[in-house]
Amino acid sequence: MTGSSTVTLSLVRYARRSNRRRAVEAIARALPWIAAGAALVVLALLRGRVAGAVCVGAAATGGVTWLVIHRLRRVWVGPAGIARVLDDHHRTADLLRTAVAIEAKREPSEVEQIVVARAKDFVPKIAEGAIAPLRLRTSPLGVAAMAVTALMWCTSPRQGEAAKPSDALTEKARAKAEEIEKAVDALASDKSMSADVKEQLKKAKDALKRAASAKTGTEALSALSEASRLLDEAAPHIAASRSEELEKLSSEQLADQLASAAKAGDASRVQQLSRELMKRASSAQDGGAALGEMVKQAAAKAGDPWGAAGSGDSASQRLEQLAQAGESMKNGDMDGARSSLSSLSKGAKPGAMDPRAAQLAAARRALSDLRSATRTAMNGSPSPGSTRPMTEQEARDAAAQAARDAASGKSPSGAPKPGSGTGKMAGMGKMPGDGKSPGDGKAPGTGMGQMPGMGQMPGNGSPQPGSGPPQDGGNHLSVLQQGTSDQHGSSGTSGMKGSSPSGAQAPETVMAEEVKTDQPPPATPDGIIRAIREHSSGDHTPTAFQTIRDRYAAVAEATMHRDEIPLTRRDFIQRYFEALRTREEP
Amino acid sequence: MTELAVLSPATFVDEGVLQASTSKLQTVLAELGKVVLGQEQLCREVLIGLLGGGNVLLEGQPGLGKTLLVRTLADAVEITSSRIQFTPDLMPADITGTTVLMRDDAGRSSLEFRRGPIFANLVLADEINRATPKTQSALLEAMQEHAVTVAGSRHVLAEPFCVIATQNPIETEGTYPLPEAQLDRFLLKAVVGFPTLEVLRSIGVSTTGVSTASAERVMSREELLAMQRLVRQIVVAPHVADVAAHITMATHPEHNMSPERVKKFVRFGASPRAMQALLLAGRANALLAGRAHVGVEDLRAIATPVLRHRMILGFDATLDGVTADSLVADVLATL
Repeated sequence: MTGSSTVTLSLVRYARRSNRRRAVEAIARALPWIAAGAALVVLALLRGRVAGAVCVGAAATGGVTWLVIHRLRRVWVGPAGIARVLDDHHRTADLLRTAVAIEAKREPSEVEQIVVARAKDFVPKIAEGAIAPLRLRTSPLGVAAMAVTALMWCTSPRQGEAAKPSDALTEKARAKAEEIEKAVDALASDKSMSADVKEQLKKAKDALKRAASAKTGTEALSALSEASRLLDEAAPHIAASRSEELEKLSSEQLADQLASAAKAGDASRVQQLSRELMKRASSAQDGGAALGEMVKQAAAKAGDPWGAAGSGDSASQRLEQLAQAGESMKNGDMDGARSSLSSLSKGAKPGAMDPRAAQLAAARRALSDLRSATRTAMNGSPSPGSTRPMTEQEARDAAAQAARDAASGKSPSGAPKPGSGTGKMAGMGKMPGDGKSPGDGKAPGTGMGQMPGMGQMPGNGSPQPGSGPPQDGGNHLSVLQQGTSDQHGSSGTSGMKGSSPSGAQAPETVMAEEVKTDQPPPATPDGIIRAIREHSSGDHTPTAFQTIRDRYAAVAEATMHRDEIPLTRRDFIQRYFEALRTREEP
Repeated sequence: MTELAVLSPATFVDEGVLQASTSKLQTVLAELGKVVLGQEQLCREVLIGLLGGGNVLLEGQPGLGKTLLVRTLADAVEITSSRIQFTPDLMPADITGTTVLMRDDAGRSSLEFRRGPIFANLVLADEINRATPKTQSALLEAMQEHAVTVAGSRHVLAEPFCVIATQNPIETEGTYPLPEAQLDRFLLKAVVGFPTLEVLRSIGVSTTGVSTASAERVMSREELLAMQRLVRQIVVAPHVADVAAHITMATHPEHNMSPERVKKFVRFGASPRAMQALLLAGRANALLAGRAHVGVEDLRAIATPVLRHRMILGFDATLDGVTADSLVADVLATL
């Protein structure tokens, strides 16, 4: 190009103007395609198909880019191209185009310079309308594609709709789960907890966190069940640590704490300390004489130094009883001491539980409620607080589900699985249908097989004193687990509170101090075992075994109806419950 | 206005020279138009042929003013002209001249070349198709070489030299149609059409009166030569050359860019001389229009007279009445 390419430079300006307009036209024409492509990408993303969205996006981008480039290639002009357009418009017989060609040469001739000069003179006279005006038009095919995409958008379901927020935890449930998580976290932070317990509490906390952030109800319920199982596993260890603490007490400390508990009226504490006292006394070489003296002195020390003997207030009376127990023990009268201590435990008003166990029990109770509510929300069955009465089938289903949930977690070792073909339930003394009622004698309570969804079967037999691990309120799984080692098949009842979908009481909702002897026990497996334990400890009188058995039979029947029990086992189970009938029943 | 009388090959061509040249040419056309009524296009094409340094073939019925045009052109431009009436018995020597034996006063004999009518600037070869091929060849040699060879001696013809040949399309008996190879040497083939009613009336009135129109001399020989040089300087842009090449190629039936009718009716297309003629005639046409550059519209304007005699049509064209002009129009439509 020569040094002075004014014509070419002038035409470049016109060319750019034309190109800008054509580019805007091309983009306007491609807009429906762009919109359709974007809508398809968003639709794919909403349906959770990221790979599809990427593919659609790439294809749409490539297609639109090709369309735009293909169109622009036809209308994109340089100086020579715009010169032709302007020459045609002004009918200048290729003046500008010739001038552009001349300016590209190195040395124009005389006549060529004339041409260029004429072109320069003409450039200012180029009409503004010579460049094709901007005409925004859309592609009809693009509009059709956009319409089709809009139709797809309106008619196709999206991932968000499939996973309704109502299927996952509600905001209220999520807040509850977080509250329970905090409580468990506080428990895990307790320095007195052992490492194993802390680990389990931590796992339970993680499970609660997963439940709170779950996307679906199934995930949430699974996480809640796992948290519940972990808390159940941790509960006996807390109770066990309690007993370990008692063993670490010196005799004097034991006596002092017993006196304090008796003075305060803490019956459960008195009971725990009394057991420890009796255990030490029975193993002492002097027969417990020294212990008895210590108890007597502790009772005296705890009493009001200014109060007269026999003043009549309950604390003083309890201390007198304690002193009497100590005297009996000192004299070698272990039965008398035991009787005094038992009456002391019975007569005293219920006191506070171990705070750690109380916290755990509260957490387990809340967790049980949350699980029930979540399950109800998922299945659509009426919650315990709903007004619509459940149908018979719903009630049976709910009872079976409640029993299954209550017994969730690991089943006792040796328990037969459904269809395992052993033909015998572990731990069973006699087969039902053999003509003998398991209630004729002691039925083994240990190693009782656990049927899915049913937990342990209650045994039948005379009540036996139990010496199992100390009780802690609401620890239903610990009852199940530890009950296998120390149950003697005795039936028993204990007052229970709580709720389950079947209308029976969930044992984990019950605090020990809330138990009343005149209340019927819950018809759940763990409730039964708890009743047996408490009966064996001499705290409650077993009542309404028939009620318990009938309810338990209903749960078993409901479970069988849900086809989770093999057909070969159903007859076995029915005859078992028949065998559990008491002699007074028809 | 720049005086073109002193125009020489060394004259710097500027806008003034260009405008003066255009003006002069327009004046020549005007003078021609004064005498040759109703043939503006014919006059323009003949002038284009003259400016292009080529020869022009005129085809038309007798009495349409072909000879008058040549004479008027010779009057308007300071050039010599001659007329050769071709007859079947015309000999080449009658065109080129011959050597005659001359005796001087002393009785000495010598051979002297007597120039024939070809030794003129503008030669009107009337009814060229009536002469024998041998005679035609003598003229064609002069058209091509601008020289004649007589008895071994070469005689250069004076510039400018232009042969305007005529053909009578009516009489075919006793004629010797020019071979296609010879037709190719004519820059243009102009068709002299019959005048319109108004023109005919004007012709009758103006030519049968006391005074008849005549052309004034408006251009000198040197100016004409300068014009011819200027024509060759007219700018041809690359895209215009591409169009000229495209037009030439499109006349060939075997080429993919030729139209369907060309493929059907043309036996042989135009030669590369056609492209040369297109560009030369286009330049001349541009100069006549006052432009210093050739435009595509110039090629469109002169394509028909340049190509109509260069395409050899097949017998189908004769049967179907397809003319070369219509085929050239088809070719131009492909642009």
